[in-house]
Amino acid sequence: MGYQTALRPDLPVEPNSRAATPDAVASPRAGTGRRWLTGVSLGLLLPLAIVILWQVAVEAGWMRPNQLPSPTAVFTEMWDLARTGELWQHFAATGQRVLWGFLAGAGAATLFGALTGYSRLARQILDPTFQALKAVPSLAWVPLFILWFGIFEASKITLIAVGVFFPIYLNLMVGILSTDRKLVEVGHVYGLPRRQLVWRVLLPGTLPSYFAGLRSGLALGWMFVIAAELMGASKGLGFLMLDGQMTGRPQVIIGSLVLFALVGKATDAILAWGARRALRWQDSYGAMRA
Amino acid sequence: MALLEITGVSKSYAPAGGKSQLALEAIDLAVEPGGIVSLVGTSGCGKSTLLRIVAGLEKPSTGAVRVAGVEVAAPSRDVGLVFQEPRLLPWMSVRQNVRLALHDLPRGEQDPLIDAVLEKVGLGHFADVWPHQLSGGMAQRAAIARALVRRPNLLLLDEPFSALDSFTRQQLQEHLIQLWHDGGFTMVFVTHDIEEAVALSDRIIVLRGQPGRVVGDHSIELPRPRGRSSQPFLALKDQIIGQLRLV
Repeated sequence: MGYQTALRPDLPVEPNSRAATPDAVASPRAGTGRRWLTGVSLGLLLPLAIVILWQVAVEAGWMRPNQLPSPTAVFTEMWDLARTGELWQHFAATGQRVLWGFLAGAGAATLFGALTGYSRLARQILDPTFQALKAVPSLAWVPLFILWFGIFEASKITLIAVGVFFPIYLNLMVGILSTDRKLVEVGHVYGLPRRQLVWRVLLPGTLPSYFAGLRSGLALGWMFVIAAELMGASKGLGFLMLDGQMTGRPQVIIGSLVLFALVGKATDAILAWGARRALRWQDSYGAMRA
Repeated sequence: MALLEITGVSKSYAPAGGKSQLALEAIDLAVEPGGIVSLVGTSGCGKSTLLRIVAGLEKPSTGAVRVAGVEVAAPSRDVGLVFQEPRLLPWMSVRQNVRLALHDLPRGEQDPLIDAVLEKVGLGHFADVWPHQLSGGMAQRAAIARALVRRPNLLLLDEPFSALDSFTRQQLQEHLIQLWHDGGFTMVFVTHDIEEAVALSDRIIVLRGQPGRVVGDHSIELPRPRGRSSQPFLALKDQIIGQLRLV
């Protein structure tokens, strides 16, 4: 406890078991890189085992290749598609739909979530309607959106945006409503101007909930893009799957599934990384173990 | 002139749909600059409410509060307030939390003040630590630093040590006396711990009842530091307990 000697001896501080010593706080987070690598390796174990088992199953003849092609067959097929540039076109089309749908949905959700969170009146006017709309199964919008926006991009992006909207809207509103009144009072005691009160007190407290909303919103975005592409598209991973089904190429279906899993996981990891950076102050079990 | 003047203050609350309830009635009080005054009382007698009115967080239903001759309408930088809980913003380091109190000063003037006050409360090495990394006593020290960094003339404390273990509590009490001794501010604190009140204060105001009224006003001239088992100490403690009719 070397730091105690730096303080006046008549003023012993009483650090609890988790209290940081200045040394521990100042030191760079050594070993973080290695821990991350270990985490990633552990996470890859199960997929790797599945791929091996899958390859063995197909080669041993337990599964028929026209139903379950081997991992190498899937890889070869996707590699060929990638080399001609066709895969990239599908990938880009899907990625753009999710991106715009997510941005539109998250933007609207942030606006309305903030509004209904901060204003009682806005909440009384808007929230019942949003809750009712939330109860409509999102795929039930498809016929209407096609009627309104046609079968091209607009209807697809709208559908994705609708899916993305609700979890973000709800999480942000609840996050704002559950802001600790006692901390807001601290802002009042020190005469914080309104803008600073919002930016320094209200907003940071809602971030954990908001990020949770963003992540489930994004997951729904990836879910809905498939629905959107299955309802009619000439490009996109969903279309590619449909094409694989029509032309009897299960390796394309499986390859697209794997791509979905990979890109979904990657985009979620980006959000998770952003959340970790923004929420470093949290004293949670997850943060301790990250 | 008294530093703090409370004249005819009463406070009533109207719960939604209920009859309005009187929490404080006709409180008159004057506090001279420089001393330590404690407000003791049973729970529900409105002592915290009185402190919140003095801090400008609540408005009195009748009467007025003046600090240095100026009527209190909103929190002022001349009055520091420490709550029962540290109330540090968890997303700000200790330094940033203290900085909140200095938000209207230029950045260059903030840091020397912050460093000085953190040094004074014994957290000089903990400026860049998150609040969740502090123990309860350290967190309350940080809260005291945040309240003192503006050098207020009046420091209000609302049961500041009630959540701490008795060892930490006594350390912080002694430390607070030290800060008061060096700082030249007036201190008014609310407590339900009569021993704490007798150990720290120059003057004890006893509140009782619902609505709360002043039922006792004691000057204490015992020299500091005060042994807590001396005859006059115990006699005073008994007298106040008697006024609260706890025995």
